[in-house]
Amino acid sequence: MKKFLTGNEAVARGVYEAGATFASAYPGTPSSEILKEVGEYSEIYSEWATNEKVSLEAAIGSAQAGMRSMAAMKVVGLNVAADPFMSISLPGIDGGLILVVCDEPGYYSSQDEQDNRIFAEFSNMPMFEPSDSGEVIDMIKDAYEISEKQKTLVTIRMTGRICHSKTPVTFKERVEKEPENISKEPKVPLPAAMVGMLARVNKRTKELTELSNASKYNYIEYNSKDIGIISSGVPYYYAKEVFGNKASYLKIGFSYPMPMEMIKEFARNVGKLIVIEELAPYIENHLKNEGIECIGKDAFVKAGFNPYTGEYSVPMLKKTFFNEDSKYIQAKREFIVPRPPALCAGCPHRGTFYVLSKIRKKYDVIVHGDIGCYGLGAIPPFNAVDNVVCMGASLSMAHGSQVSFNRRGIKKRSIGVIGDSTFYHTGVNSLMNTAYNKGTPVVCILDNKTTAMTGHQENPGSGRLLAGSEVEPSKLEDVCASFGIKNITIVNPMNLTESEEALTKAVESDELHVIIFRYPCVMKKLTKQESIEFKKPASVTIDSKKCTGCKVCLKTTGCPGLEYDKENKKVNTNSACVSCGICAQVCPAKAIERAGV
Amino acid sequence: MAINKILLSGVGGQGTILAAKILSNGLLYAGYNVKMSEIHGMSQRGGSVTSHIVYSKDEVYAPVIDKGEADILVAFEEMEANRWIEYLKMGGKVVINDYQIMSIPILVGAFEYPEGIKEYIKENVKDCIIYDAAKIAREIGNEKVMNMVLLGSLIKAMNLEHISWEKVIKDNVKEQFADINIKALKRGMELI
Repeated sequence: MKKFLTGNEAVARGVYEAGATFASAYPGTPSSEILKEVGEYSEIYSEWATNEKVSLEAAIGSAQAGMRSMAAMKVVGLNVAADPFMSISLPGIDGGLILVVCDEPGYYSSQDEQDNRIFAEFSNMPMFEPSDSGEVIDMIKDAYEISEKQKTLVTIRMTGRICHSKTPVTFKERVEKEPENISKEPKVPLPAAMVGMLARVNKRTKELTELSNASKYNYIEYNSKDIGIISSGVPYYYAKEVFGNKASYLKIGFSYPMPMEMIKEFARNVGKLIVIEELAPYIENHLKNEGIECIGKDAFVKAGFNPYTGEYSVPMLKKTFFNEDSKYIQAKREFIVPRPPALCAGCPHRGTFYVLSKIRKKYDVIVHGDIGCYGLGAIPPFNAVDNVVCMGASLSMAHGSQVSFNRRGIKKRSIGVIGDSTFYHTGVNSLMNTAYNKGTPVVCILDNKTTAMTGHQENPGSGRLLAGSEVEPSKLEDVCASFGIKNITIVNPMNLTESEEALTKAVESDELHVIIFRYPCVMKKLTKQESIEFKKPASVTIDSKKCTGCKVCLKTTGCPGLEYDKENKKVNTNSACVSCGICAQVCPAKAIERAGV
Repeated sequence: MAINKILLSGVGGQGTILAAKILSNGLLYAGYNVKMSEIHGMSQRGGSVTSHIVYSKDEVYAPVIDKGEADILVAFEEMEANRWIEYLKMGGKVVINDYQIMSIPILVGAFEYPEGIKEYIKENVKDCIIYDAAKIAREIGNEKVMNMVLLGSLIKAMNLEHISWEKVIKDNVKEQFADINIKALKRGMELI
């Protein structure tokens, strides 16, 4: 019986069947579901790491102990893990190690859509690119074999489309794996050892090239030889759907080192050679470097597309190669109202951003944001964030901008806004730096006790491990205090007065202040301790006699639990309301009652 | 057999994903080749979401649907019908839930909920069915099963009644909700 799995579920199945015993990841779309699925297999020790670098390093350690291991991360996660990734290439590892990295053409939820195939070439370590869930499983098992034989990390490069598309797969039994022998030879990249290591890498690359040229994942399907298409990943299927039997195909699944011998043979046997690949012209450049003529990105550009960004599609190929326009009914522009993602009803960030946006109107401040649900603080109705760069950057930027404002004599306060998971990810380093260098920004840690954005994964402060068992949570205030920070305030973001007072005090001072806005995510399954600690009103009701219909509650909180009744000119709560009570605190007419506060 | 392409559009939390799961599992049990893709952007809840299902007795290729490709569009929310209508092929079918969910820009008063969407699509799509699935679901006993009502209409529109949907639903929803979901699905099949 075939099972219907997403690419991410297939990763879990693949490492399970391969006999892996260690998995670590930091969540991030489109990779987040992988580790949760791996965690369903009790044979594999699985843990949420505090960041991608830690996850890969732990997996390297486990592989060095001889066991098949895995790290998984999103596209930009590899930037965080780039140091161990690049540095493991030369010394190599004795045990099987795979890295699953999930790129995201179309950047649905990433700040960049970098093509990580380039990282494989950069590091001289092999890479596989599956096209569907079945290939994910097969490739992972073969990747471990190659990893152990060649003593190298192997990357499985997915894209969001493969991560989140379901295709049928056949399950096989798990094969337990004996630990690899651990060599006595030190793997320490001292200058004296480098020459030997480089020679080994050169030999390895040569052998991997031979493997790639003979790999079952690189294969030719001859049909009509007038057109030859080279493709990889999910665009291979777009090509098959559009060209059918009217073209021959070279499908590339083992994409570093590139199977240049196979490519040359294919090029000799077909007429017009076309390369179909999303994002960077990775295959195309390999061909051009060898002097092989091909049609690539330029054809799409001529057809009016930008093929260097976003996903390809069937109609895009039809237009580019057959000048066929898609026919469809135009959506009426005036009917298109944006439906941006919103903070949930009952989200504790709503209180924080309500207060922040008020402070911004009153004081000259710059707000450096970070990566998480609270990125939504940058859009209406809050408009309370000035810039966002990458995980953890808010706090380092707030330090840097405050130093420069101070040195230029500008009376402006720098505020860094970061979530708890992002704080533990890399923000903790930034804050340590700020405290050590006597920086003076205002640091807001939005502690909702989970990694909410990616689907509520655990973190050091969440009070649970991946498998669900409750543990003593790390306390942010203790971490901050250990850096020697004096001004640490804990507030409840659901209490707007308390939150505003703390923020006002911090902004008016010229010292480093840390404010922890602590209230669990409305979607979080609370720990025992949290259900005792955090209470909300029993009910919230709007007195329609008192409601003036001014819509201040709607306009300042943007809460999906409120709606405006046009006929009666009143605001009502709706089924999304979880009676958090924020609206009651902003209503100028005092028309909203909170019971059981 | 040609490749059939189904697009479900709606708002996060409306149950499009469960509908797509039941649909694709049913097709799979019935021996079709199936691929399914979900697009939900960065939103946990409240954003515009789509599910793409492609199937055929022969091989299927792209797991995702683009403009002018869908044989049928099932819009779980009115505004999401217009937003995704370009993905319907000429001559394709549309099922629209006469049900409105305000987006934040509407809630805060920056936009009005657009009027005239149903009329616009009716004018342009010959094969267009519009009804209030939420109302029907409430009559059945739970507004949440509006997704199964719409799925029922989709199954009928695509001539897929021969698949044992009751079994598929039982396999994919909690036991205590199976009956009401089956009832909703059957009701949806009658509406077309």
